[in-house]
Formats: sequence, C-alpha cells, structure tokens
Amino acid sequence: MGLEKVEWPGGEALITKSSEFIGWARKYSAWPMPYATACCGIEYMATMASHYDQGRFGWERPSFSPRQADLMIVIGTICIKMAPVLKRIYEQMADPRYVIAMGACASCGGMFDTYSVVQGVDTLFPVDIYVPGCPPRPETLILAYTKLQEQIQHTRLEGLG
Amino acid sequence: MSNVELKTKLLEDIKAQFGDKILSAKINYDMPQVEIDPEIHGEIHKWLKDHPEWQFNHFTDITGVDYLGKRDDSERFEVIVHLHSLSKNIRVRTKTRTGGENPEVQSLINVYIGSTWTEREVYDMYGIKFTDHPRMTRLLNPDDFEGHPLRKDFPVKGLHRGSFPKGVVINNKRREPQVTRQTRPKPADQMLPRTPVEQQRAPLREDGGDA
Repeated sequence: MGLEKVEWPGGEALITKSSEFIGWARKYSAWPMPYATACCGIEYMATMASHYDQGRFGWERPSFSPRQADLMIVIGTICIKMAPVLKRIYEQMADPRYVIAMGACASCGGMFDTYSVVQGVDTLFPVDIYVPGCPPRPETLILAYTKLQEQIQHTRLEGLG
Repeated sequence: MSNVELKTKLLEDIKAQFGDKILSAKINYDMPQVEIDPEIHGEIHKWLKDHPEWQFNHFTDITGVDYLGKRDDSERFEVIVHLHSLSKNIRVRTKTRTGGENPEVQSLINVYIGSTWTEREVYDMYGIKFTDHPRMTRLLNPDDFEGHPLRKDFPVKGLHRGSFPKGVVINNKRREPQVTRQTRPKPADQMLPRTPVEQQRAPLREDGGDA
C-alpha cells in the first residue's frame, strides 16, 4: 500500500488511494467457512486452535454458515453424491467470495481416482488457491491464506475506486 | 461338547432338516459354511433363528461376490450371509448363487430387521434384487447413478467420466420416499419375541412397544 506523508493543518496526514485502503481493510476481514469432510480437517483444526492461531493473520472468526462467510475452505474428499450440496453452499455465499481447495483430494481427487469421487472441486466452481499435501501442514495453509490475502488486496471492486 | 463337535453337529442338523437342498456343507476356516439352493434362502435363516438349540439371533452381515468369467452366467453372483448365535457363541455362513439378466434373492427382512440397509447396499453395489423388500433403491450411490460399481465388468473410473464437463454437476434429484405406513416394518415388530427363550420373557412394554 503506497502511503505518502503530507503536511496538514494541525499536524501530518497519510495519503493513499482509496482502492488500496479498501483492499488493505478487506484482506484482514475474511470470514472463512471450513467445509471439512476428511482427514485434512484435523490439520485445519490445528491451524484454527491456539498453537498456530489463525487469528494472528486476520481470519479470526470461522463461520459455519455460508451466508455469513466469504471464504470457503474445501477440506477433504468430495464424493459425487456430496457435489450438488457443495455447489449449493458455494452459491449461497455472497460476492465477492473466495475458495481455497485444501489437500490433494479437494484439488484434484488425490489418490481416489475412482467412480465416486469428484476429481477436484474446480469442476464445480472456480478455486483461488490450491494447497498441496496429503494432508498439508498448518504452515502450508497459513501460507496459502497469505497468498490469498495478496490476491484480495489487489482486487479492485466495482464502484470502490 | 467341544467347539468342533458343536460345529459338526450344526452342519448335521442343517443337512437333516433340508436334505438335498443343501449343495455342500463343510467347516471352512473354522466356520461352518453351507451352500444352499436359492429356494430355501428365506426358509433356512428363519429356521436357524427360531431353532430352540442353535438360536442364531444375531445377523452379522450380508454381502455379495461377483464370479464373472469363473462361473456360468446363470450363477454369476453369490450372496453370503453371516449369522452369529449369541447363546452358543458360534457363527455360520450361508452362500446362495444367483445370476442371469435380473439376479434375485429372497429378502431376509421378515427374519432380521437389520438386513434392510445391508440388502440395499448389495443391490447398490451388485444389482442383485431382493424380493419382498419394501424399498429396493440405492443406499450409498446417488439415485441416478449408472451401473453397479462392485461388478467386475464395471470400469473403476466410472461410467460418468467423459460426460462430466467442467462446471456441470451430475443430477442428483432426491426422490420422494416410497415407504408408506403399511409397508414399513413397525418398531414393535423388532421387539416381538422370536426365539423360545425370548418368548418366555415378559413383554418389554404393555402395548408391545412403540419406540
């Protein structure tokens, strides 16, 4: 964020572009919704809990309702019977919305190259960040989230400068 | 009576009762195993459950096997039932062959209420229909799934590959339940005394139980 310090009557002021200021505010305000179906969920719980403490990075509040969330983290294997449900949950989230596919199964089907498993949730909706690993370590998920924060920071929203 | 004698006596009893309807009877891997004629599939399990001595009152599992290419097409599938007698602490395995275009076996839900879902699973995976079952629909796969996955001629990656373009979700419309009050087994049926020992016991509730 480009900041400029200028003289102002009665003191000094910082000047920046409104789009960058809004992006800076938005990137620390994501409300993630964990959609955990398999063992990657354990790693997500470790990320969420006190040792790794995802609240340090600005995603303090996990939301368990898609209508109060703007970041969905798909954690684990998605069966074809579950796919319509997941699709509907994604559609319930308000724009702008983001998706992290955590683990090999959510990214590409992983080792389950079979009839009953969706081969990556990007066959259902767009995915912003793929997290490799089986399961990924909490550090990997935190890195993925910081990458997503960069993406949110530089996204220009319509009508917001 | 030792364990082996007990199992041998069980096989003798079954053979004496059903005669030539028993295709083979032996102790296989420490477990009595009988291959039976499909006609007596319902009858033999009811007999095993109601028998005053054996009392096979615990239904363990029902599953299927596909012998594609190893057996004639008319007896391609095998339905395997495992039972456990809690009073004698022995188990028994029965095997029934079926096959053809529409493989069919008698349902066991009038004997063991716990077999409803497992029979639906066998139907889902092998396409073996259980006659007299009130709701012979898929259990694990989506309702509009094509094929039966555990058949040997089913491709491992499924039939929907290639017809599953990006952005399209396969149709998974939920059907209305076909079960009505008349066909569904009542909760009281599960509590009805079956074995002679159970019949001597006082009823669990006055009205026969309505869980």
